[in-house]
Amino acid sequence: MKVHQVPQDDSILEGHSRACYAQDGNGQYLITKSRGWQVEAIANRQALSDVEEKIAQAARDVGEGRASPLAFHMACFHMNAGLLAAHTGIWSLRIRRHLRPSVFARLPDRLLQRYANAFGIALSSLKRGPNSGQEAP
Amino acid sequence: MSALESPTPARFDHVHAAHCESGAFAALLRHHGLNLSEAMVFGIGSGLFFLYLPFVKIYDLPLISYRDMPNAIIARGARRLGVKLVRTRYRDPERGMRALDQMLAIGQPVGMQTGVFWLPYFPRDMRFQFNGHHVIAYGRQDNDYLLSDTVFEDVVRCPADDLRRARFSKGPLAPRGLLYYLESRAQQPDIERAVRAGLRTTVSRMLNIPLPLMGVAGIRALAGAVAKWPLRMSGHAARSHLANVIRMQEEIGTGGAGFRFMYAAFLDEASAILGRPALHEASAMLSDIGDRWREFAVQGAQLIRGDGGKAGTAPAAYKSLSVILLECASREREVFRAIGAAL
Repeated sequence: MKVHQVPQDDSILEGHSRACYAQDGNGQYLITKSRGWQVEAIANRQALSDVEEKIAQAARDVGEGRASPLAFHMACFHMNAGLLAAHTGIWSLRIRRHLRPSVFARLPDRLLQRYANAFGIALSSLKRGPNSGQEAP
Repeated sequence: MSALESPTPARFDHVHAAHCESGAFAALLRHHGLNLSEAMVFGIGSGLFFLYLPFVKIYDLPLISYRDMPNAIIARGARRLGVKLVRTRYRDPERGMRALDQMLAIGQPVGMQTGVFWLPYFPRDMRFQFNGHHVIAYGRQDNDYLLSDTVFEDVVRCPADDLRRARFSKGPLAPRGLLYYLESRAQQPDIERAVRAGLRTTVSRMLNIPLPLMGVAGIRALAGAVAKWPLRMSGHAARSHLANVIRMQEEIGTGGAGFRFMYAAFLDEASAILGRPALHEASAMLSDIGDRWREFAVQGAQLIRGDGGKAGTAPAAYKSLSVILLECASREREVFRAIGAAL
């Protein structure tokens, strides 16, 4: 890639720029700044849309009583039961049970606090789920 | 937690780099008086690689990497440059944060492994669960840590609570609070020998691993898989798989074309250091291959956005992407054979 080919598109960098390796007129490699590349923005959007779809689905499930608020927070933090298990030390089978609204409603605060700590959110937001205005950080 | 303040306003010579691990290690070396470019550190640490593990899923997508395992660059680089590193992991986050404060209080910049998702200074759209991100802490002011994150143009700040979360993030590649700093270094490292060792390892790993998922064979395996994605899964899932490849190649800080351009820069420097014109030719070849990887990303993005044709032609579009990958594979095999022959 030549220096003049380094893309300067609006992208996902929010005004930052990244370092790209490109060649000057003599074929010498330099580090050049790039404001972003449309291509990476498209790929990033595809990945984020999958995450957003999971969050929206979880919010619907919670709203319609099919899942507990935990399912919503898990999606917001890009986690599945396995990753949340690693963060909390709670077995993933147990976490899966806690995704059921009836089970979640009976959980003691002591256990819920472990989830809240893992996400870094307040216990009250954890209990409220999608209606709490709580988004991923 | 006791807030240990650095005695003087901490300063660190921040240099913008493409890749977190090689950039951070190069910055630490520079701080201790060993001036090597990021590309040199990447090459000496044998950073370039290719890995495709379809059965290891990260958030439902197969693991793809254009470089070697996290921490491998630092470990090999330190060994080859005669650098003694102290590397410590912590079970207890509080202890891990105290240890960091103690190092900063005596003015020692420290490298850390972190999870990107928890770092608030990252652009929002780039915060995914990835635990292999390297960043240097060089000071502390009140509740904020002063960080030199080499993939950013300038130094950044991070609140203590977020940094603790990032350092003790869990899951694949969990950092477990990893801290590292230079204990001592050889006064006159044998750069020629280090470069040769770095090249040799990369040549061997790209060509000789007898598993069809690593090195050049890994690129071929990915090419085979890409052609089958539109036949095996929904259109949406196939596009997500493709986007994942492009992100690993371009988004996560590779310097472009999945580290191929950075490695070409290293080959150029290596050619001068070792006096081997063949390495300069290899650099030019790898630059051209990098351009093909970029073309793969461009065509892939068109396919994802849907302006490459209608749904009915999708298998053909994936097929042509697969052909580009096969071409990259066979040309990379040539390059690494040429490098091997030049050593």
